[in-house]
Amino acid sequence: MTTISEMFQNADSDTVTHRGRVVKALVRIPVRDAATITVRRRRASPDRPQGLKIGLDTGVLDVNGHQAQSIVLWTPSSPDEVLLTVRGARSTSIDIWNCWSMGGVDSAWVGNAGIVTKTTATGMILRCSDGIGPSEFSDLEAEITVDI
Amino acid sequence: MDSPQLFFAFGALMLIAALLGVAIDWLGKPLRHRRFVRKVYRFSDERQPRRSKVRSTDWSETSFVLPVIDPKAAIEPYRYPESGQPDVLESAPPFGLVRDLGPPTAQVPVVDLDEVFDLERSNDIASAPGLVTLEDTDPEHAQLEPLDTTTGRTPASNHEESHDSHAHGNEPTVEDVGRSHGWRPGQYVFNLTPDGREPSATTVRTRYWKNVATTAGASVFGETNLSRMGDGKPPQRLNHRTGKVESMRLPGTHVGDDGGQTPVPEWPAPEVDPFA
Repeated sequence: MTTISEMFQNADSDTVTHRGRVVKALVRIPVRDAATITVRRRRASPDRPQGLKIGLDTGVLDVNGHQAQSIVLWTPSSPDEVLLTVRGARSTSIDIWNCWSMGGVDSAWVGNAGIVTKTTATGMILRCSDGIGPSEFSDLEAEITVDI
Repeated sequence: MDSPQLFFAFGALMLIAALLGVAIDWLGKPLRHRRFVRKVYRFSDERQPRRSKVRSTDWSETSFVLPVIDPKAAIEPYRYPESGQPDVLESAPPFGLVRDLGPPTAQVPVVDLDEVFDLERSNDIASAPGLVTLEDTDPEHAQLEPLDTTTGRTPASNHEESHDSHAHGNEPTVEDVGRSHGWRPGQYVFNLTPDGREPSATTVRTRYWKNVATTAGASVFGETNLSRMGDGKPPQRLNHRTGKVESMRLPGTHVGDDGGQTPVPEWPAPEVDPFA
């Protein structure tokens, strides 16, 4: 059976339709310098550590005293709500995608991994499926709010 | 600038370069002989590295089990089940490959602590099996020898065993026990080659991916990658940020890199964990 990541590759796209849902490999959100991004974790599967990776196109993300262009927030170590600040005059967008850890291996974009999004009044809700097992978009659920 | 000035300027530059070299060499000394140890498992609820399991001692146990590996024991090749393929656990993760130690050749003496404590209470230590009192030893040499965790013996007994082993001809050494000659899918990736040589890094990588291909969990990589791994090649994925296809990496392809532990692969991931 074709996995979602194989569907992405076959379609040569980061967006496919799977069982009537629009599934994305990553979510791109426009930002600019000094914008604040709030990541609020709503639910996470206890089966294995789940993570959310956030990458800025240019510049750095300022979070918890660290500055990096790409960061990862893991369920066991990060708090449920994290505030990030964009630092970069030429920053235009962030990419967000999910990951998971199994057997000591940090994985993303394999198997049935994908994200289903829902826009809200304050931002966006991401429902993520990790690559293990069938595609169930309940392995990680997070709300992203960008305050530009 | 005339010739003498040029000469002195050149000499001064060389002197500065030499002093810099000496300073770097001096500062670099404490860094030598340090070994980079990968943090294999990121979280406490994941499986702990096997190294810590092997080397740590659980003092809550009521008995000690000291594995004593007999170097003279013959190593028999792994026998496959009738289907010709190694057993596969459905729920096994793709990287939980089990090291094939061959048939059980080790003798495992078990000392029950309750029995020892009972004997101590009754002051009947002399009758305890396998115990030697300090009074029986030469006072000048009455010091404890450190125990070799690999063999469960003291260095002296190891030395005797080594001489004994050499006296019996070309027999496997203690280091070679558990590493069979030759390799088939499902076996330990660091097995020696059929002619007894260390496998090259490429060979270890090929063996590793072939092993992964035999596990049920490998289906997560998809049909194309299963075929690649069956040929001994690493799985690939499309990096949706860069738009490029990237391969999984396998660090630690030498048996000494991580104490003989089966290597753990990794995807290229430059992300920083600000809460680590």
